[in-house]
Amino acid sequence: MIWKICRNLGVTSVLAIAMLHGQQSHAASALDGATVRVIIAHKAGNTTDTMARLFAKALEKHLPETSINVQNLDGNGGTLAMNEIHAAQGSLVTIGFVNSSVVFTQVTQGEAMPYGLKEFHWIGALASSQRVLVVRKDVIDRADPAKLPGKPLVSLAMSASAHNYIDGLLLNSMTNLRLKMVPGFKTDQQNAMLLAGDADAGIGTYENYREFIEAGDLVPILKFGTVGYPDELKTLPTLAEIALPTASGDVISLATQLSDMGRFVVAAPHTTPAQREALVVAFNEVVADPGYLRALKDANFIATPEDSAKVTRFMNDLLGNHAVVAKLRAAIECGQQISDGVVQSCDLAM
Amino acid sequence: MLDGTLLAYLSALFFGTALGFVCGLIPGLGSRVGLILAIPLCGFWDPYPAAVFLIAMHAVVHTSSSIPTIAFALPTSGADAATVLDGYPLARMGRAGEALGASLSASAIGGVLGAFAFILAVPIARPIVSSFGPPEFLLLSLMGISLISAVSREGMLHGLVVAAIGVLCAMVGLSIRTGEPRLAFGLPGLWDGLDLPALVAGLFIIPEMLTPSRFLDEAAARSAKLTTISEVLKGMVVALRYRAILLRSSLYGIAIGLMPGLGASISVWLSYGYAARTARSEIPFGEGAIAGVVAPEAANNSKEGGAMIPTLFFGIPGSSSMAIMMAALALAGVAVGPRMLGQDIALTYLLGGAVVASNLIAIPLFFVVVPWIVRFSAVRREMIAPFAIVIGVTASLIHEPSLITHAQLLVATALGLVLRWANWPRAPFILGFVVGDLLETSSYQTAVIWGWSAAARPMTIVLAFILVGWVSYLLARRKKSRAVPAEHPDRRGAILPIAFFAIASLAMLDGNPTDRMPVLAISAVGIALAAVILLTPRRHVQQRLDHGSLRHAWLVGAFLMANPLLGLTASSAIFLTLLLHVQRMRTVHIVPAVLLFIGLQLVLLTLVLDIGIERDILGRGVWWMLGR
Repeated sequence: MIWKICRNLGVTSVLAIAMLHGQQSHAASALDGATVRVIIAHKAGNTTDTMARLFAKALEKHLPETSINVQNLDGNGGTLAMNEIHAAQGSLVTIGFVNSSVVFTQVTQGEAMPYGLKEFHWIGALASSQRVLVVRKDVIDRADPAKLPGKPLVSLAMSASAHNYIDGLLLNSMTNLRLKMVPGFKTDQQNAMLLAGDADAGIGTYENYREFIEAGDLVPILKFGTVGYPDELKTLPTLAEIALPTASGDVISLATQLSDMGRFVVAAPHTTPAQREALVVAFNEVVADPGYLRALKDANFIATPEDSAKVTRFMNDLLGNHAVVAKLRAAIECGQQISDGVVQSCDLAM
Repeated sequence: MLDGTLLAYLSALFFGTALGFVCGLIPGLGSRVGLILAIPLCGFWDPYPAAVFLIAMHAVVHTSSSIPTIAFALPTSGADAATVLDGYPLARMGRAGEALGASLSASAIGGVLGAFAFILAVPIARPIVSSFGPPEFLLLSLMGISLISAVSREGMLHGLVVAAIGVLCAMVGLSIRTGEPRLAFGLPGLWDGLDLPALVAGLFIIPEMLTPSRFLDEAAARSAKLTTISEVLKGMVVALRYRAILLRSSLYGIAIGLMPGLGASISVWLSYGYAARTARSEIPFGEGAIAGVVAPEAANNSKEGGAMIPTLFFGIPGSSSMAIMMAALALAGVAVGPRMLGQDIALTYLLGGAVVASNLIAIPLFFVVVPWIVRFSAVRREMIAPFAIVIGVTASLIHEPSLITHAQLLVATALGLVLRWANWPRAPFILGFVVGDLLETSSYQTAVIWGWSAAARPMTIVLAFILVGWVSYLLARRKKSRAVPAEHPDRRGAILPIAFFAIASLAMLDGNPTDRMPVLAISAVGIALAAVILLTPRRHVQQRLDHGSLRHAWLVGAFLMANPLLGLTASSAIFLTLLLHVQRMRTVHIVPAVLLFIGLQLVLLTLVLDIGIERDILGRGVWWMLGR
């Protein structure tokens, strides 16, 4: 024990000396002396939250002259956090960690939103969100994507604008799967209901379901994206592979890309070009930092970072393409009608 | 096999307990912030001792949080607010030591029972957790609603009206069914719903501090200066007389704790309401009944043992702080999940033992701290009130120092002062707030997923029988004892709720029909009940609070409004100086007291909580004047 304390003190001292050294030698940054306010659009303890906190810790090392201030603001698929980041003013540099649900929310509730995603600066993407569809082991037959729809599978979500709710609607409209989406369940409740047999299916990050999959309670049957999944899911069919021939290729591609990029780092609209540049440089340094990568690995996370240019291009292409947005909206509306039992299928040819 | 040496486990246990105790003592810190602060410290131990450190820290937060709650009426959560109702009146009677002793007994027993439940749940955990779903939550929320009468001593109708306001406030935010804002008045800051700490501060702390207590006995309060360990011991023994309440409240806590998503406040308020309905007490509930301290404290601590069951056995956090605990354990290298029911069973017993041990270690810590703190509670309330108000405001702004939180604090304070002035009950608001959301959500989910077939679920049948029996008992008891309260509520107090319901209805007129119906229904019921109160003449003489007792309310209003402009530090300093001056404190005492307090506040905000000194502390006005 004493040895361990001494060792930790030693490590701390070495880190402190290294940081002091870093302070003397690091290149001047537009963020020197500034306070960076980090808003995490997820509740504390969530996978993205843990990942974001590890990132923020590493960021402190790369920006020794900058004060980093982390807070959680979860709710409505990241829109609360995006709204706060959008409203940020003054000398504070405000960045956020959000997932791809902010894109869906923008598309479905665009007019009601007090912000537009195009106004933000996209610093990069941390990792894939590893989105999967899982079912309880005893409903696997009904959930076989190759079979015709039988009784709809009950699937739970936080709210009608949550990421997994929209994912479920897209599955309804683009595949043979039939999901009855029910909102109002926190993530923990969703898992508890799945284990209890009160729900049939769940959509979310692989990390959320990993324990239950490993224990044999849940079976993954579909993955939304193509990267960031563990080896054991390599053979799992993707959304593109099981989509109906009539499904829009644009919408499938969009859902796949959103899962692959997954967890975005975004800066407030008022961020100056110099600060933005410094944030991008710091992001690139952090995602290549061996210490950060080791910490991610220790926590069972798979890093698949994307740079600012790629994410910005993706966002601009998507949000500027009204035809794709219209197809996505149509698919979501169709999925809702199927979920409500109003129709069995829709004609989405556009 | 467990790793680490005995010394490592003991150091983790003691350090974790001490840290948790401190986090509970400081309003605004609590379990969630404490766990986040504790994560970096885990590196000092191997994974399993680090898990002991985290569990020990978390287990005792609610034990020490009763100290500021009872001594200074400083609850920082909806759960703690239940303890204020009787704990603070006891403190003002000079029985703070006794109340704290009772809370210590209840907390320790609740915590230990929760830990045993966790250990004993190993073979039956899964069927228990699986037997509860939305249909059962719906019945539990109906039980909660049935307890409104228990916390409405001043008048059942009044309690229902106040609870309806609470239910409406719970509806503020984005609708889960449509994803659209509801009762948000076009303010995105309200999409996340109202902030419970701000509501508690406005409804309970500030009105309590601005009005003289009906139970205040200055002579007795002065005797609190002499509070000794023997008084705390006496309180501990007195609490043991309420064995049935202790046991029942602990069971409530464990049962609700193991249901993910139900929230801590529900178990505490259910326990309090049930105790208020069934316990025999010389002093009425709400005026200083020891049982009113015992019930919520036992439930508050035992629920953590219950919440550990789904968290550690299935990886499903039973509460928001347990979600952080899970992440902290993962970062410390401890994997939780079904393994803990089998190959890692030793870890299960280790963590259960850590909860028991930390609850026991907290007892001597409590004895060390309490006599010092109780001495402060005996200081004239006029001197304590300014500091308590600033602490309450600071605690409610710590997590979300936005303009919207300031506005909520201001509105809640206005509502709290009016209700206090009119002698209306305030506790039903919190009950309505914590239960209302559950009622709406679970009824919708039950209808969509099960429909009438929900009635065939075994646990639903059991709970339905309990609910019917409970309501029958309440009705029979109510017929027998129609006690007339000593002070009647002022019927003019109904004007504010009517205005409240009318505004809510108007705001929803062009809203989504799915979201509009529940709001209009609650508002209609609220307006009807309030109208009955307003139009029913009272036969009894009014014994309302004298209006002069609220003479400093304007100063509090100015403080709350200046806060976003000048920031917490400057506005707190000005408010404290002015109010202490008005209270005739000598200038030579004011200056060092205010400087010391502001210094401690700054240390907490900047060094411990790492809140940026820009806008949040200095205020938007100052920042604007500096041109930044």
